[in-house]
Amino acid sequence: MLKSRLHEIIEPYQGGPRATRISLLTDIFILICIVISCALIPLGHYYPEYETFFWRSEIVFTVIFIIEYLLRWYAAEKRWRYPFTFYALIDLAAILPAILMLTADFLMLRTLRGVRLLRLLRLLRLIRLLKFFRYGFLIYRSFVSARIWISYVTEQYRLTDLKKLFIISMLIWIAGANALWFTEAVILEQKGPYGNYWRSYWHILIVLVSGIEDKEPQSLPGRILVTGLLIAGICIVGMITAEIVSVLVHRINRSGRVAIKPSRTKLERHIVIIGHSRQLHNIIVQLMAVLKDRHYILLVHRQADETRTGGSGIYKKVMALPGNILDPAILDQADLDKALRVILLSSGRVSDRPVDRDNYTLMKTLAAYCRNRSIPIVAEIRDLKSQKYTQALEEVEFMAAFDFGVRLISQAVLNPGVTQIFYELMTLTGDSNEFYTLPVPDELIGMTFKQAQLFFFDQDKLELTLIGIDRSTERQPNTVFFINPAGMKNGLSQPDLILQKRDNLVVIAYIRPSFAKPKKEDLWQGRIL
Amino acid sequence: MARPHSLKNLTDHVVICNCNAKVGKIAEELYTGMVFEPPDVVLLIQDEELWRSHPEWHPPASANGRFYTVTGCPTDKNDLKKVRIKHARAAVILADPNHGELADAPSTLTAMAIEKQNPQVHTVIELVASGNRRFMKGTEVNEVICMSEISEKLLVQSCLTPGIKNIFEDLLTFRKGASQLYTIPVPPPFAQLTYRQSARKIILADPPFILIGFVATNHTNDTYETGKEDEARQRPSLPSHQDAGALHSAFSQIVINPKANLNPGKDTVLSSQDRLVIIGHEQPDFQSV
Repeated sequence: MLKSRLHEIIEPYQGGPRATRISLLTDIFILICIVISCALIPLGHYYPEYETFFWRSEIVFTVIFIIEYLLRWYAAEKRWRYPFTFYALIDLAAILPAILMLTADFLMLRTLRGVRLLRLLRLLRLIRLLKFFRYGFLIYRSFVSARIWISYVTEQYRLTDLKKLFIISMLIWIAGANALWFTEAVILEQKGPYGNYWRSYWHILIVLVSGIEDKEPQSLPGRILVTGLLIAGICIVGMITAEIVSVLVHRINRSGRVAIKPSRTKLERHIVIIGHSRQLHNIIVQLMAVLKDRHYILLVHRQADETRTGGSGIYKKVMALPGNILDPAILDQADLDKALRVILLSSGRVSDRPVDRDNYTLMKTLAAYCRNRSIPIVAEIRDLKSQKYTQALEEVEFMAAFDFGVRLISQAVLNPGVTQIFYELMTLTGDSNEFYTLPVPDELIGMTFKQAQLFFFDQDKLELTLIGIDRSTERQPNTVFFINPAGMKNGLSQPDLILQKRDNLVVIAYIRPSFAKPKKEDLWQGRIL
Repeated sequence: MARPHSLKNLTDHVVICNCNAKVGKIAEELYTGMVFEPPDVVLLIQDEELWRSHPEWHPPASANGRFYTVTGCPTDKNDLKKVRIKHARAAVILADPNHGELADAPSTLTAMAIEKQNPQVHTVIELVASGNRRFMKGTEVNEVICMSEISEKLLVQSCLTPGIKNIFEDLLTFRKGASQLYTIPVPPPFAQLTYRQSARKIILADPPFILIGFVATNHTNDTYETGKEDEARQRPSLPSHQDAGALHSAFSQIVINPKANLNPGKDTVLSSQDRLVIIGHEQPDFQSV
């Protein structure tokens, strides 16, 4: 258990469903250690007087990297193979030069030839930069998040306009100070307040910002210049104040509403919800219960900017894109080519017929589908008559609540009480059960379904119940499955009950079980959120 | 069992109040009859014109002889008598399309009127607005189905795990070969065993079903250790009125996939009043276990 927990912490943060904050913090700590330890090498060259301090720091970092290496080895699934893996070799190469340097006396490296080797070893410590490879995904995610955040803050606080104003002010300040000094000191050779080059900067700053003109120039051209700068200062200060007030007013007006997606922001690995219905809030709540701020959600509909957050923290990573998705400009803005999922809600006026709403949904589905055919799309339809058209789009999952509702009512009549079990299984919260399809663990391949049931049943920590086998293809998951496969008449025959490598297990669990570690490529391609 | 040919002798039937597009589909599902014995259905309609003008809402031809329509008001005592509500096993109150988005109030009042006439009847109400679910707690309504809620839950599930709706579809359908969820009283050999012991025993016995949880109850009235237990097993298609009532109050403690460190959980001792939650292709038979 310790090994598994350690593995979770020490493995690079992949942003998967079970990714923990402590894992993220560990990665950040190691990255900081790498950066500082590499920075010590040039610093040691430029500041030889601090060599002792740098050398002690080097020892500390080397100890940290050795501990990291040993922990990774301990937590590795196949310990005998681990030292020969790519990353383990990099880790070893990262600590070896420092270890050799530490044992220099023992290895007699202080000799004349050895000194050259020592210099080389000092440089070879830069090999630890290769350790960044391991954290590629984290660095990429951080880069994307930072880019989106900066772009969002720039738009929200109108930093572009403020930046322009700041640059203009700086130019006027520099030009004014130079012009005054040149006029007063160089041309007219006056020894007034502008006779000194650097003091003229200070005086012009006072003139521009406060408008106090107590250090008047001695010459007429200088006074004309200062008059001009005084007027410019009034304008600039007024504009900056107005801009700040405008930002504050905008923020007050938008408070309690979802942030609008900046037009220049490119979202990546986000979920797009197109359309609006009364369930939108509940959908966001449930999505965020699982995603835990790992992905942005983009709301696209005409009044998306009016979506109220109700002061809820779950809207922290929700953005609004007001407009109609059938508008090509809005379709571009939704960044569907980089999105992970699309949900299409059946929206329209209350008076609209269900079939009309469906036609509208189908059109929007086509728009999204044509933009990105590889993205999983799930669309809500209301009228069963629309189902005949949906068959043409096999890649899109259409959801007819009507159909499920009717079945649930029938279940409620014939099988009283089960509806609440279905509700529990359908609801996504931290403490409710859900269905998961997971790859068969290696140790269960070749075992029977019954043996697998007993295997999981004895492992209390996993907290799951095995209910079936999924034999779908990767392209169409959850389509060929056998719930209760041992059922006499309709279940699998005995030989088919033996678990194979390509099988998936259908389980009921509270969270995605730890044994089913998502593959890196599945996380990268968004197959697992 | 001989089937009654008139409304007069109907017992153990299902009453559907109000008509909308779901009537025909519900009847169709109920008559699939692959797992449960199909019940008789009585539709109590207020707006006859609405019903006549929508032939697509009507049940399939296979329902002939089992489907009755009665015109009347579902809150009216006499009309409820006409549909023999006192002898019905379940009442489904559908949202009346005439009330549009505000149909929840009339539906709830209808359910209350029915419960007043027959507190044992299993009432199932269709809600339009999920926000109104909280107001159902003060009523005796047994089960609440809200289309928008189902939609939202399945959309999220499918968004996160594409294809997962197929599993729900499989569990919800009554067609042959599909799995079903069952809640059955804890059989006597399993009473006083922990859930852990019971589940292990079931897995080792290799039965054609899977135990996934249990329903913990606090009932003092030992319903299933009396003659009713046999009755319930002999006719597994539908629980009796008393069973339905018992289920309603019992379902406050549904424990699916019990945890080891919780109570009720994996080490909870099952009592004869508890129920097991099972996935099976047909009504579980514990004889072999």
